[in-house]
Amino acid sequence: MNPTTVQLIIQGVNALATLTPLAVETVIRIRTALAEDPAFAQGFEALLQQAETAADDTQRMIADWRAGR
Amino acid sequence: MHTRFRQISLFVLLSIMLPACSHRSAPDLQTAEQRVAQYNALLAEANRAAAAAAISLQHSGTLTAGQTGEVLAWSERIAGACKLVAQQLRSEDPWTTRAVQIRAVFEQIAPPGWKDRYTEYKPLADAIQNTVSLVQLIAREVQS
Repeated sequence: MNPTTVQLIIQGVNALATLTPLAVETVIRIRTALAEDPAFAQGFEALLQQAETAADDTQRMIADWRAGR
Repeated sequence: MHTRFRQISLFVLLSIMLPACSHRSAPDLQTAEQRVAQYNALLAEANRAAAAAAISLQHSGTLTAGQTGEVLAWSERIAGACKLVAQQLRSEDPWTTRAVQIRAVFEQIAPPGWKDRYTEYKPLADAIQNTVSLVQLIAREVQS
């Protein structure tokens, strides 16, 4: 997915979490939009692997920092 | 100003993405577990960005080792939570059971008390806010 699109999605997510009066309708729109984006409409397993890969990278980064590398 | 920024961001996002709603939606992307999978993937990415930003700021001398350490300790917990969520999502258990397990994972992780301490360092502040927001969204999906 285009990094700009990812950033915009994340900004929308932030707005979702805090704009309470619009929350319900906005959540529905965002859900629909996410489902429509062909780049993000990955297989379920691909999403899980993406999360695990990013989490592993993070843990590795932190371990390296603690080891002074 | 912060509220205005959020409103503009949301407007931009919806302006770009809503025209795609004219296409048929994939029905298997509308379930709660699919949404949690999407949010969890985003959470892991945002969390990685937060850790990378904290380390970068420490290397530049902007953050102390202690400050970086507290950010990374929280980031490490989020990374662990993301992996546990992925594991739960792979389980064959009913969704109601998995939702309870996922809820328990995030009940252990409160928004960090130091969240607003780094607002002047935009990449770090944005990544932390993204992470906190995504945790809240996942929590909404799995609440009883």
